[in-house]
Amino acid sequence: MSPGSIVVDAVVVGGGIVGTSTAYHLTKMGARVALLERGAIASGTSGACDGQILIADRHPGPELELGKLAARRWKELAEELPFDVEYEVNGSTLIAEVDDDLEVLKKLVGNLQKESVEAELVDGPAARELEPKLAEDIPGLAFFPGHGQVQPQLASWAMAEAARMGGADIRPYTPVKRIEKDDLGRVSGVVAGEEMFSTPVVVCAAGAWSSTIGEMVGVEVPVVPRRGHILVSEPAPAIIKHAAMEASYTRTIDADASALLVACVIEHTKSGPMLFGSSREFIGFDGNEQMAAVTGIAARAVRFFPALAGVQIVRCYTGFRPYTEDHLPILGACEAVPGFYLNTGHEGGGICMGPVSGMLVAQIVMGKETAIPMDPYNIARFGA
Amino acid sequence: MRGVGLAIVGAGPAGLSAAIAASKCGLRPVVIDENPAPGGQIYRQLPQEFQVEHPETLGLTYEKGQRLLARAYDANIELKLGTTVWGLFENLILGLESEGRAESLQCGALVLATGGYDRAIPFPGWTLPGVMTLGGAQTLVKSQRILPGKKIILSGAGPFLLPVTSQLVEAGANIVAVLEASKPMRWLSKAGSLWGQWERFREGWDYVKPLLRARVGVRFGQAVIEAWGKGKVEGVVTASLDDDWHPIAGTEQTILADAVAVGYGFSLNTQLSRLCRCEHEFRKGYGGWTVKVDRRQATSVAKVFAAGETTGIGGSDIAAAEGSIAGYSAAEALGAISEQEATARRAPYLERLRKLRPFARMMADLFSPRDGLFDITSPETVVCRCEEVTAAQVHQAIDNGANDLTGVKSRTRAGMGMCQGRVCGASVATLVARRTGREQDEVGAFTGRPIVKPVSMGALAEMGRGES
Repeated sequence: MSPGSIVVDAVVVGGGIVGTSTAYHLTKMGARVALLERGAIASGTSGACDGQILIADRHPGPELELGKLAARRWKELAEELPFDVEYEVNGSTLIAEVDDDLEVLKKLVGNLQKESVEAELVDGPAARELEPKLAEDIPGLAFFPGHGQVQPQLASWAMAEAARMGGADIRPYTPVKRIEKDDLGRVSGVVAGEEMFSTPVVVCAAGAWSSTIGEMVGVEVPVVPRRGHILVSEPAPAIIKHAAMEASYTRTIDADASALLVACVIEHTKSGPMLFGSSREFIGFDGNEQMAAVTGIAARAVRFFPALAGVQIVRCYTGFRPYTEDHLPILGACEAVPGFYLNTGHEGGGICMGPVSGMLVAQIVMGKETAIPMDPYNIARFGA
Repeated sequence: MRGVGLAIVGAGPAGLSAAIAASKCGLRPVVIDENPAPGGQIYRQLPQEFQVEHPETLGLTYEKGQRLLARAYDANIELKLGTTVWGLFENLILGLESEGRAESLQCGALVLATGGYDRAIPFPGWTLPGVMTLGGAQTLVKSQRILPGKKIILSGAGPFLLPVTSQLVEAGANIVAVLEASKPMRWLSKAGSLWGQWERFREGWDYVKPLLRARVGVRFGQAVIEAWGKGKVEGVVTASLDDDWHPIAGTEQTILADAVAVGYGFSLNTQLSRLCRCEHEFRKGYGGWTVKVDRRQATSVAKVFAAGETTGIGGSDIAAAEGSIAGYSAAEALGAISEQEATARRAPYLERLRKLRPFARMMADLFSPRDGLFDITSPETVVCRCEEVTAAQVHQAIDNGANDLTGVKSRTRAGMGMCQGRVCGASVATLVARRTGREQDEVGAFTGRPIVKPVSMGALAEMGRGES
């Protein structure tokens, strides 16, 4: 410990939804925590995404288990957090464009029902009863009543504020310069801004930027940025009754192609504007918005809901989803560097899973039992 | 996608001058403006149904505008009017929208002459119907011949207050009071810079004449600090200001009015220059964040030039001279003229700028809102009108750890609405700077993103279908 250093039990790196949730849960379990964020709270991916809490887009197994747990944790958090984060459970749809899609949805609904996820297939006139403004040629959709949404930025701020109220030291605008290790190779401190934090634990919650933090302790974190676009509308009339995605959306998640992939995702936020996604591309940290993505996203949305043509778009942005090759997040300890923990790689599911992964990683750090087995999420699966 | 050599955004004095200059070099520039007629705010024209009977009475500004417009109509220029630029993408691709149809336009060089808009400082009641900016009042009377009210109060600082007042008077308005925050005593100390600015006197006289005729007096060192009324403005509270423009307690007066126009300098349309990652420079009194340009009006980005108010408020003569320079520089960048020819053609305009700039400096120094005036923004005052965010909420966000505009926006939604922070950007920056004891240039600006102006999903979708 160096003189003048700030002594804490754990340092969390990253002030998005995942980092703030980790700091909040660690604080709740009695740890003294410092959260270090290079910009403002929620100024990275959590400020450039949509707010859907989805389960149905996950493969059965560890991905789905985490999703189910996440949806439950969100329900509790909405009550726990110090202010409203626009949380609501209003269900969402996966929409078939052609009859073949409907077959795929049928199978999906069956599988999810077996996993005790609320799901139903709705076709013909019933589909238009559920979504009256749906394009006339749409054969049907799958409905998931348990799906919800939050406002991601507010959620991150609320989580940070809850942690602060519990005693955490929240430090926005404080970039991490380096992570120190002791003679035995264990994490011993973090140098950030002008200060030294003395700590036996560092949790990397730096999302798409996690590999930079990993490098500081000599760990290769296999997370790469995957760029996505979102369009934002003026406060809009109720054209959709539930958040909506096209059935082929899950295919664009699974596809590893580097080309621009566009699939319709629509969310109507509680505060009025609608959000339209989505695009997926591997292009490094190039944040420049692309005209083809903007117009492509609009075309897909209007294809499913023609009445959207009259809605005015006021903004669009890109965000970098933290992608891992097997679409599972990286959670838990890193055996190679004692004291270095990871909570990253959620790709497009950070808003949904961040709260629960923050809880699970906090449980691991504090040596507590976790609600589900955590081995499938460990970085060891990549050989690190 | 359609490709052109030179595109110019903005058909005010700077944009039109750039287009005229470029057309003299053999180019046929495309000039894009969202208004239905060229001229910008200063040379905003009457709709064709109106006939000007005695143009000689309209003064020097009108004459200059007519001359510029005539030259523009004679030149080899493609005018795309009623056209909004909603995006600017890599490789200088513009996203345009006109009458519900979107299209893209790729250009070899770009001149940004996007101008500015007048700045209001939020005060209690400023969101009431009947309260507007000076520019709003001017647009009503200039393009629609509509008076904003029956009893009008104007409050602000700087050279824009006078022409708006005078245009309202000429249109037959009943002006109850005109409040100018600065005091003439300070003007005298700067009088040296006026030597040789005879044209400025002529313009000033054009504006003062109607006021004298109508016996409209100007109250110096005063400001509107509150507006009140049920459902619409019914009156205002004014106060005298001290040397730092703090309202002085005990000097409050109530005046009845049904229209209030306010304006304290300008903010600049830097959305497009931010999108193409031009460097910006904070210049107090010149509109805040300005596009940084060199003597050729070149920005920090290759093939992108900027001219007029968006590079710093200076008035229409400076804007026109800068526009001419930008036009020749863009022609040079496109290889239409040699460097030697460009240098020669720019020279007289550079000389003109050298003569004009001291006056702009004096104006910036005299009329830039002084710190005390921001006290009129009470905690309950709505700062971001689109999202109805109050000053107190901004303060709360700062106390929760937001230290810049990005942070405040993410915590409060300020700047996320229809206007995308155009109206509240300067006010929020001021609140953050004051609360954290820093200068405005240290707290940043809202990040520039497409979409710059609202565009319909239908228009975008049609483009998207065409491309796939």
